[in-house]
Amino acid sequence: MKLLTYDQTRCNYCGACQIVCSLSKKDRIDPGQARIRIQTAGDGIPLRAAVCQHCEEPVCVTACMRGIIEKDPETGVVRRHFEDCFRCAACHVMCPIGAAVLDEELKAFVTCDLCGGDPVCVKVCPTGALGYADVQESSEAIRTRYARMALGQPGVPVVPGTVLRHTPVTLTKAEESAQWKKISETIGAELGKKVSPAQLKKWSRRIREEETGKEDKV
Amino acid sequence: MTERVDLLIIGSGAAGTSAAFAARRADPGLSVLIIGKENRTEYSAPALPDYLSGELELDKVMVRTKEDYDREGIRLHLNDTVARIDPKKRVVKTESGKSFRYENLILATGSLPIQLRRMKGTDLPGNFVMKTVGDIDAMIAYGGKNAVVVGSGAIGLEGSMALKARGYKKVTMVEALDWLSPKSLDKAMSDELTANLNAFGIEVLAGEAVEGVIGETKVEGVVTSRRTIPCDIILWGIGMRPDVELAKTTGIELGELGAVRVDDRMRTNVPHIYACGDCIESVDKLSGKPAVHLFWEPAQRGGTVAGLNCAGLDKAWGGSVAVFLTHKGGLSIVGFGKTEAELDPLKGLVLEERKGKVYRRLHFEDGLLCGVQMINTLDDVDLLFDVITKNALERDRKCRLVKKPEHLDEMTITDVIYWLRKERRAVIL
Repeated sequence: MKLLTYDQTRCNYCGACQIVCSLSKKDRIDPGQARIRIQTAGDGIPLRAAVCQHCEEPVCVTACMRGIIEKDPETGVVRRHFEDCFRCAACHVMCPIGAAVLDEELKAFVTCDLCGGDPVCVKVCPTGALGYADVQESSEAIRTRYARMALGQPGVPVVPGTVLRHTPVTLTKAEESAQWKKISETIGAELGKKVSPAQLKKWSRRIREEETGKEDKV
Repeated sequence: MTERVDLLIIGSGAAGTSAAFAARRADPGLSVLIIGKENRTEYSAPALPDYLSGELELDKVMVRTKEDYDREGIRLHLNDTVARIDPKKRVVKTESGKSFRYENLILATGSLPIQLRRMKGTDLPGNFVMKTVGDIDAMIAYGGKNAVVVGSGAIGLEGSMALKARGYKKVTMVEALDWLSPKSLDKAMSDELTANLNAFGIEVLAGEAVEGVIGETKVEGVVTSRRTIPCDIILWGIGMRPDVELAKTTGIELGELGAVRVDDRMRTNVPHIYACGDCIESVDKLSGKPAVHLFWEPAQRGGTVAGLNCAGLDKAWGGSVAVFLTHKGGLSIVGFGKTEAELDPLKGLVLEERKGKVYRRLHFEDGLLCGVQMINTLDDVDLLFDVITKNALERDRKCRLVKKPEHLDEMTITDVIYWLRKERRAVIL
């Protein structure tokens, strides 16, 4: 099956995926309510994307105390009849990747539904860190890439003790403006919503600040 | 006349039903029949407090309708109990006189609430338990103004909140042990929980044993070791025990904790008989020791494992984890792993943090996370749960994948979460 794939070494932690996810699912920008969230260790270096992996044997399906989560035997997608969720939070606690988000309006725990096979977050990702690809192939491709990096691919230094190195792409001001302009256009085309590049940039900064300043927030 | 069934399941709860669905999906050729005590299809016992409080209607408590079983080709034989099992002839006889010959049998008889039948007054009207939809209906019909809830586990906790939400004027929780849910929570966490319950208007009395029930024709009060509490109803939440009557009379071996002993494929010692759900003795994934885990997730997953094995697949069980979790009515509390009392006195370390209404505790042994308790937040609990289960695997391998941080005792809980996020990345690769 095809899944959202995430290459942390390519991620620039711009937060566009979270912005567009909340915009698409909730009709407003609220990155905390997005069904995909990029996590760091408080240092701004992206570690992983907390997003539903549509597991082979999903723990949420057996954890759900209302029996409203199911894995589609044909497509492999893990679906929820969230209108019957009574928020016991078992899926949230037991999910190994932290994919379940408590949606404030739906009053239910929800997860990524792959936008029905056309995920919009992949379309806005400016660095290609997010992909929508066959799970076997992409897992192989990402592992190969990681392994090459670990072995010291030309131009990528080996750091003892770490397997992976995040290689942030530094953008010039002009490149960054172009990036947000493009994302703004994609949002317009895909969701029919108007969000200016300046607004996007502001939200991106806010996502970073919240994640790195979490100490005070709790 | 004896009817032939490929897979016969005794018990229509979470375990029995998941077993049926798993088996039929794996092998649509199997004839599957479920015998259920209650005249109801599968419903969510953990949702019963919400039904009691009035938050959920009955149809929202039901997990599956008759149509769901029909669609999967699973037959139901409800409102009947099994009288005996003949394991040699592989025949099950019910009280109503029906008999079935099975190829494979799954025992999913579940658990029963512990009741103090010998204590005077516990048979009077006004005594209630919370196990079935019928129990809740009876409680709602009975009414009353003041309630005493005995016990502080999931039922005591959620039951008292539900009764308060239902409109009971005075709700008093009585716990015989020194603090609330001592199996899952430390004293400090229990104090925090008590303060939260008080804020909801629930009085909490810990360290007081119930010594009697007063009343002539109906419940009029509860006598504890320290006082008499006038009340109209008593909700008994002092624990559940595996229902192993049928297993005993059939000669099925029980484990050291008194529940049905099964292997990693959910097989009992009797050929062609499997067991799953609340009636089995599981293996605690975190401690590696035998345990009775009366929780939804092990029941549902255990049922799936039993069903798949009966359908000819080879599926391992792997044990279960006890998770103390309540997330309702403005209160969330979660606890799993070792409590402070269970920590190794030499290698143990406790980190705690209080910020506003949020209070969190992390327990470590030799630098490995082994216990988590938190109230009024569920942030990053998924990470901690994942790490704790992986740490248990590490114990089995007897090797360390993750380096112990140098100054763990000086770290804040946020530091720990960041450290675990980084370390887990290394483990995944």
